Amino acid sequence: MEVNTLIFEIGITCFILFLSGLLATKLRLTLIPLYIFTGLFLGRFVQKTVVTDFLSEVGIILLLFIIGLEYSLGGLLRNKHRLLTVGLYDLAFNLPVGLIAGLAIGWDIMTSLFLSGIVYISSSAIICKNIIELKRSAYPETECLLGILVFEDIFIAIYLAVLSGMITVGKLEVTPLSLAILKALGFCAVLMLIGKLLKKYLEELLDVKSTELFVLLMFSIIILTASAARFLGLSDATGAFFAGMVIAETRQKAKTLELIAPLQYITVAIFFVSFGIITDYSAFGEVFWWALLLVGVSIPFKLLTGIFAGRVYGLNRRAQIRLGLGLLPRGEFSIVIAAVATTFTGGFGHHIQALTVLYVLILAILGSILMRFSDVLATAVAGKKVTKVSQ
Amino acid sequence: MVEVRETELPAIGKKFTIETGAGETVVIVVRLTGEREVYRFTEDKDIPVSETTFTEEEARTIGSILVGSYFLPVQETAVQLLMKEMAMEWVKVEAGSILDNKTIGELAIRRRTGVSVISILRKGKVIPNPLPKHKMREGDTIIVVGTNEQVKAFLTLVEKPIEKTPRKPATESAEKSED
Repeated sequence: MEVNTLIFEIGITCFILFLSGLLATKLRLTLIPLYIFTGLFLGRFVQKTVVTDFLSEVGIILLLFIIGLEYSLGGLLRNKHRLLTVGLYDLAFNLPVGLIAGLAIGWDIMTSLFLSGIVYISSSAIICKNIIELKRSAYPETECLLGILVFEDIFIAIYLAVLSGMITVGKLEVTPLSLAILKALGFCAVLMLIGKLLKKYLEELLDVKSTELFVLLMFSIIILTASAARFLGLSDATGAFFAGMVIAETRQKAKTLELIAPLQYITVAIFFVSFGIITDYSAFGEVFWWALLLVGVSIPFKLLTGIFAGRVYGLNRRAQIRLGLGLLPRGEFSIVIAAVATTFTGGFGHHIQALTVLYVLILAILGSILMRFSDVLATAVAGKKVTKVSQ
Repeated sequence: MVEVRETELPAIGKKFTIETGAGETVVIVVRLTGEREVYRFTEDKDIPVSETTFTEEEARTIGSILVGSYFLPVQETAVQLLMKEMAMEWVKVEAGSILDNKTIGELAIRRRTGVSVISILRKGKVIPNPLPKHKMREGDTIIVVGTNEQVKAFLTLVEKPIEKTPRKPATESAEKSED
């Protein structure tokens, strides 16, 4: 009887998600904020269960795997100098914001460091979707924008590993920082080396004709890499991300993407929903002004990033402003960090969840709107006259 | 040689930039999903004046037109011309037909009417390019090719015995060819 209710609830949840997704497509909105809204709404009626916990755990792993899978390092390394420069500008401007805000709220340093990541990371899912829908892929700033997103995603995967490593080693102490960094970097290096040196054997292993067996093999590779990361005291999300980057270099990239994506759609939707469900919305009142303040502070810093990073790519002022506006949406990764923070820290869980949900909801929606009108806004600010030309 | 600049757009696809002699910039983005986006920039190099998206299939067709190797329309006119001048006819060999139990050579089909028998269909099997010594039997369907006049002549030849019997095998087959 219990099981039946559970299965029924998941079925209903997915159906409600489908309906809200349908609405989102009609309104041309991105799905992530809607999933969270749905979770918040369902939180009044249902509770999280072992099953949703399990599904959302798999959801985080698959989400990060797919993010890693969509990047191909080969093409990026050609421009590594510029990429590194703009990535570091972005890091320098945006990473401290959350830390300072967290400390100002009165959180401990660990939780504040998590908030740092939440505020820093732009949503590659929402931004990529916007680029495609708004037909911006040929705009001169897009290359730089995507470069920053790649840098952010790789950085945050390691950052997350380091943070979770610090917690497991000591009890919320900063002293084992060097050990955690070493472990995280070591783990990534080993995975990348496997991808490079043993590529031939990996290709042979992956060359499975049967679709069923291929999915089983790929799924076990993903989950095992994630658990290996967890075993080392790193976040399993990081493990999955780097597994994705390794698979991206093999011949099976397209096949993997095609076959794993459907699994990812379901589990990731459940992840966002259950994050909405466990979020204590009674804490919204408490963190509302903080969330608003955080939004207000993080917008100018991303705009600043746009101006400085745009210069590196030789963009004109108008494109620089569009670049900054394009970086605003926050989404999946911020929620993942908040979820990891909840499992690792616990105590401040409710507040960091509620704050992140509000922050992400506001910036996912406001950011997408501003990106849609960035053409008009940038022209209004920078003027029609275009001096510098770069494509 | 036209210079093509190729840029990687992670998670989106590949971007190709071409400066045309007329001072315009054309950007083609090949998405990972296969769609091709084409953008045209004129004075403003940061906002395109127009944009359009093609599916993979459309892109291939347009591409072949652009390189001048799109021969399909020529083939089509040739086929149309062929169909206008030539006819093909399916004729069933009925009992009592002059074709029944005769070889192609005996009847001198080509000499008398001008058509060529290109196939005999017998019990679901095809005999392509039958020789003059091939015998036709009741129940066979033979396929002939020739000019409209030749085919008409052939049908008249076949229909000869029909004047005695009220059956009209050729009418049925004529309808078939119009399909």
